[in-house]
Amino acid sequence: MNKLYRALWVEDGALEDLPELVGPVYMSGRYDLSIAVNVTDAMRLIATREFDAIVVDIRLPPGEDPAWIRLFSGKGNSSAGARLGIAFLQTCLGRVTKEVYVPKHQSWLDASRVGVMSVESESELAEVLTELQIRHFVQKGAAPSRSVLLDLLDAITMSKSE
Amino acid sequence: MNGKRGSNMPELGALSDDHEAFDPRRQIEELTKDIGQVLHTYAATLQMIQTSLHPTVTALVREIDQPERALDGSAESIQLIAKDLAGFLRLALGQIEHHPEDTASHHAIQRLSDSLIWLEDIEQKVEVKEFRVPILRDVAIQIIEDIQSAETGGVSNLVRLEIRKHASYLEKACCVNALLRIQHVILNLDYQIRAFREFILQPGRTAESPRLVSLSHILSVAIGDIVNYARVNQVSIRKKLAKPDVLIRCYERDLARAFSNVLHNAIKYSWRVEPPKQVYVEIHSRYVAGQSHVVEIEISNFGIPIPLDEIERGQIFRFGFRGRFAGDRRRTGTGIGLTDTKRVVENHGGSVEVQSRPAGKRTGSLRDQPHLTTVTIGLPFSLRVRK
Repeated sequence: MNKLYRALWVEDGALEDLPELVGPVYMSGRYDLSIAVNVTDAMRLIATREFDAIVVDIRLPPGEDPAWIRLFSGKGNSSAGARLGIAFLQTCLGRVTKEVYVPKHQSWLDASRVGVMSVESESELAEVLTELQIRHFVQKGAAPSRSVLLDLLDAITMSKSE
Repeated sequence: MNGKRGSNMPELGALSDDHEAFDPRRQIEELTKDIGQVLHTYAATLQMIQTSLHPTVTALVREIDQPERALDGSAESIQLIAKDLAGFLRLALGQIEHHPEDTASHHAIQRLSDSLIWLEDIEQKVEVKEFRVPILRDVAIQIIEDIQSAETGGVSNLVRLEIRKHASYLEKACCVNALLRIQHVILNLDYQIRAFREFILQPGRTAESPRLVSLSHILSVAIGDIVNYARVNQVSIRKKLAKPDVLIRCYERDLARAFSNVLHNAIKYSWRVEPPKQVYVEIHSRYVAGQSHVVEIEISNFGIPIPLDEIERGQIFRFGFRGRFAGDRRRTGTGIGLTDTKRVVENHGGSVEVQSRPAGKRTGSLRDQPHLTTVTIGLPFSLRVRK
């Protein structure tokens, strides 16, 4: 029996815009997939269990945590402007900046378990990806392959096991 | 590229003639026209997609519809088709006399067994209901491939054909479901783009003359503008207007848009409910006591709250402002609707007020607490319509 990896997809459009991407992940039989549609939910999930792979969007809403709401409001209540995915990654990878809330770093969590899938281009995010040492990135285009999420999760788990 | 202008001034919008002096006003006018043109193209493209989608959905539904029971892309139909398919697949797997020796067939039969589990246990295996339809479509596609490729000795041709037919129904029903979702998204976008275009191009339009128009007519135009949007969101519009009707001296197009903006918000921020419950937006008008020539129109809905501080500080009327909960559950917007409405209403000598207060059962969090939001537009009118 192959190992079942625990995967987390942090994506606010998971239920409405991109549900087609989860089919290949479930059908592969390799992942126990959890979904978080905002930063509060994502923080709650990584505080309660360990994941082998985490795929994060950049334009995320804050959810209900007042501190994340403040950060979001301070940047015009816009997912595109606030880019909370970056703050979320900095927070959970322990790179504390002056605007980032609750640096509760999980000891199991490091950059090798993280991938980014966003509408921003890789060059646009190059500085952040380098700083956080995140190697796995996919840009969301107008015509994404249906296996794009599965491919990214496979890339993360395979590079970890190498 | 410098020299002729004698400055390093950046170019804005459409490329200007290098020989002309830099004229910011003209550049902004050109840029506005460009944006208007782009928005017009988007609106036309959405219309084209919509008109192509409709016959596609109809054709696919015709393929799966059956005389004894109506099937379409609804979750209920998909469940029924999946159940039928599971029945035939179970029968086939029971009929296989011996497992084939060649590896490809062996794997295909193993996958067919896995597919049966997906069909029968989808609700247990996939908690998130939004994911079930796309997964079932993948299951259907896999079954079609495997039933063709596997060497299934002992399984009758009739059963194989039934499996193929029902898997094909399932695939099509799931596609219809996805197309209906796309139609919904397109209608959501359509109003935003048209309203944005109206707003952008409004200053450049030749000003129409104000004329006397009845309130009921203005509201009918406004409702007509968002009726498709209301339909796909399953929101009904209830109208209770004070009698007699009144005539308002107005710029009809602008005033109708002002009401459409508010109605669009009311629909967008209404909570969804499971049938048979119904969601509605209410339009109510009344004469104001003590003010003989003012009519107030209230537009109310139950749903997403507007935080009090955003109302008290007047942020909701600020150009481009989107509230804390405005993006809730992927609701999109430009943040110009209420700004536009306020400007238009005030140009007509009226006023706009917004209230949002908790309604229904109390919950712990503001986001999950349904609110009754009411936008009240006060407008001076010229005369009451006599029969």
